[in-house]
Amino acid sequence: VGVLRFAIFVPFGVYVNFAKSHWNTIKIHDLLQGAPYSPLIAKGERLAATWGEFGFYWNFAVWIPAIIIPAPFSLVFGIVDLAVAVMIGILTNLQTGYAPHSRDKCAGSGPHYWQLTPGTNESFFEASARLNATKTSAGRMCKSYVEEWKYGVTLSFFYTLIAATNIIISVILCVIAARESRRRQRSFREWLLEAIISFPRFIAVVLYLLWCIPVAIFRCLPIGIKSRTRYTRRIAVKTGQRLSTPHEIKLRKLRPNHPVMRYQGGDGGEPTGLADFLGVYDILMLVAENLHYTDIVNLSLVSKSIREAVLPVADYDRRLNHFKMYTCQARSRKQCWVCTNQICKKCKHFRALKQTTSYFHLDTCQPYCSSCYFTHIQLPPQPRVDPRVCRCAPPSPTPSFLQRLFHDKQYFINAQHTKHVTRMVCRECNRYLDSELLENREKRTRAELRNPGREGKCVKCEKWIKGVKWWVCGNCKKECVARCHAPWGKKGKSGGQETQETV
Amino acid sequence: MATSTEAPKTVTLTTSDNADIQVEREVAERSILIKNLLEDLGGDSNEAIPIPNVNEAVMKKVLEWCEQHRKDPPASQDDDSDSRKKSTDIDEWDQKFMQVDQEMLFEIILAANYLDIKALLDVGCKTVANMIKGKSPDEIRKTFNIQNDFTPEEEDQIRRENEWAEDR
Repeated sequence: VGVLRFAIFVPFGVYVNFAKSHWNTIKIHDLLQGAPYSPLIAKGERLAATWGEFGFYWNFAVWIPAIIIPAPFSLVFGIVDLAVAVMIGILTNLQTGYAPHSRDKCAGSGPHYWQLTPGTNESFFEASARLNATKTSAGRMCKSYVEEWKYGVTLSFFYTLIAATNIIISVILCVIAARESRRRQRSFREWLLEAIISFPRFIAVVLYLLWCIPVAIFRCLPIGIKSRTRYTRRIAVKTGQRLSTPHEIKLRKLRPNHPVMRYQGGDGGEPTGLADFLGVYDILMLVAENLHYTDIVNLSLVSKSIREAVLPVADYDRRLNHFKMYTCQARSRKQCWVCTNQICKKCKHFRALKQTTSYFHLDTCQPYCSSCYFTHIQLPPQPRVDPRVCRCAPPSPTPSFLQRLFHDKQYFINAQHTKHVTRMVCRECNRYLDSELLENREKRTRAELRNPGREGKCVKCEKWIKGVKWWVCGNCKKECVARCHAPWGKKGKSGGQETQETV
Repeated sequence: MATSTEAPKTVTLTTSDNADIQVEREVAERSILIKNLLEDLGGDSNEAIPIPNVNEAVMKKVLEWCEQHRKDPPASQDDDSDSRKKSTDIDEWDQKFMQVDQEMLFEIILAANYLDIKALLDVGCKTVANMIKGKSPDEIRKTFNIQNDFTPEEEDQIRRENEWAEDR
């Protein structure tokens, strides 16, 4: 259909040109619009000029969309095409009545005698040739009408073919799609949605292919030029990513610590022997030395008086720090993978949890400073074709609209890692289901990845990174360009050293 | 002239309820507080030593422990290492010794703290820690016979304190 549409561009243009030229002559001369000549000539040329022009522009406009837009939307094009084809057919039929069918009829005195009305001394062709500035002879005027009619016949045939093909293909595709949907138990709505997506998908594919041309040329350039160009581009990207972060940090600093979230105490509750006993700070710490952090958390949930003895509202933060210092085994203290509880070798619980995109980045990607990145990652021995970009991470399970243009939902589901990673969690978190643990951890993971203070030291030179932070996959040693990572290191003396390592 | 058959030196301790308890000096000196007091009073003083924060019953229990552990080496710096602190293993005799009602247990620990008997204090705190360790709030309540006076909302709020939050 696309080829046919393209093939009739020129014939359509010529047809429109004839029709408009004829109608322009007729419309400014009353003599040519009615008696003594047939009024059908004016009517036919007016409609031919109008519909011919519409058909020409329509055919031009829908040439590409008609190729890429799938059924059932292409059916709409087929219907409009049919209307154009019918109109051209009717008009050509109309022209059959007043235009000769052969150029031979326009030779000699043919134009003079062609449908010469009794009582008049000039035919329609002679009159219009006289009144026309360009085709001043009746023979040439006659021939232009013959040409218009011939083009009309040709266009009627081909445009009907286009319309019929379009409609038939659309209907067939609709039937196939309906059967396929039934087989895959997909609803009509889903099928329609997929059909709608396919159009921008095609545009994206075209753009991608256009983009691939300079990329392919670029990849053939010497490594020295490539690495420097990439380095500059990546710095520009990272700078752009960084621009949005400062105001967030400012807002965070202005917030009061733990505004209303924390339990504010109350009447102090019923006094108990244990509360009085633990009310002595030294004793409390001596007991705490023999406990794990989660035991303290549970102890603070026993009663109001015990809560007040263990974690008084006025001394909450300091006490928590002390408990983190005194509880659990000193050399193996870590933070629970999910919550803020401290765990150690003796109180940790192992959970095999599914690896997801965020956790993969958190576990695998390592920070490099600019110097080490340029030396070790940007200049590998033979990177002629290799784009030096890591592809190890599974795609997001919740793809964006743009991502869905290229792959359907099933692709993202299938592409998820099936492997499970052992995580260490506290006793409290160990009570949750895998799905609950992963959900609880997801938000934290995203924030940790964006935290400029996380993994502040370069893994190569072990210096604090204060400028651009390059993330390199620990598996393939290529740069990870995922936007989830903090693009810059944290400014300051230590670059924001983390106080406690997460498991 | 001192001989091997000479009777051991004793000291008198006056408790908070005005009871005088005669005890061998060596046993009493397990308490750093008493030992320092005796040194301050001079070698052969027969003066009774007031212990105003400990009653007779508790004092007798403390002295019982001191008697049992009279020959133990004094606590050294190494004893403060993490491994000692974290070990919740308690000597069999000490375990039996600590099998008292909770009120008495707390009193013994507080007395050990006051009298500065580190080993007893450690044993007492370990005993209490063992009663808490690995238990849920409900189990701790049962162990210590405590009523839960938190509303469900308050309990939920406290539990959420330990969840991770971005602005922390």
